[in-house]
Amino acid sequence: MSLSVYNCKNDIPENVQYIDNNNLFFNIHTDIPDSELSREILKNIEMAEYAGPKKFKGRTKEFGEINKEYLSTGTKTLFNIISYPDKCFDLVECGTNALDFVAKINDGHVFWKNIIAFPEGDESCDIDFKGKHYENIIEFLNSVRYNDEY
Amino acid sequence: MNIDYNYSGIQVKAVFSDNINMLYDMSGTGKSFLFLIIQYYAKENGLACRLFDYKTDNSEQHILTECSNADILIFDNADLYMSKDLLGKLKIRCKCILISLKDLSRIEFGSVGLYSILYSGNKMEVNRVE
Repeated sequence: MSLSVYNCKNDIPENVQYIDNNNLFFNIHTDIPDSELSREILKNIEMAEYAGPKKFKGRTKEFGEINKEYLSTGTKTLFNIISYPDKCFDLVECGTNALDFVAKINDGHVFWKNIIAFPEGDESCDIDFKGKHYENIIEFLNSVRYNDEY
Repeated sequence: MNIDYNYSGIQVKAVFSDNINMLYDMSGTGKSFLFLIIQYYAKENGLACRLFDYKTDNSEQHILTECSNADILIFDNADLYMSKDLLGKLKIRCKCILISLKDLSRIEFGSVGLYSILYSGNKMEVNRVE
């Protein structure tokens, strides 16, 4: 298992469904995963806490538990990738903080047209890109930049 | 557009001084929530506001039809449907356009104002950064 990254839509395998409307897909099909990674995503991106598959506790405590539909698109995209590793999700609506979490996902498919990220801390990853496997995110990002320049 | 508005205990302060006001920010900073609040603000203050997001028909034809007589146009998550051409058409039809976008390289803009949200406790402040 690895995260397959594509920056050209023609590279997405025919049997892998491409999804660009992450909000719509999440609201209809995806629950908030209960895992260490999803709790980390909620904490770092939303300043929130897990409260169930369809709820979270947001930064404004007075609001109590909030329906998952109010999560940011970036967070929804990450949860889509985690929950549906057989589909390819477009990262175009992910902010830089959400993109930094992509390297922590080790299964699934993503379309990442402009591959830019500024990962902090752990540099390990499990990424397949254009036939090559990467276990270090910096190496992957440098390789993408090299391919773009030549 | 100068907003000083209390929404359910959250104090929102924002001054949007450009024709195109772009919110370019990380995920989870409250852009969609801000747009929701602005809709309420507009309603209470008699302003015609049209919001386009993932739930709406975002074809160019529909957008141009819906934007007539709008005081405020809001385009949330515009990466999937906004183009330079469409934005150029909208600029002359509406004085106040709010747009959230992640990938600025896809679209060339003329003069736009870049804004960022500072969300702290029960206060939400929108500041022009460029």
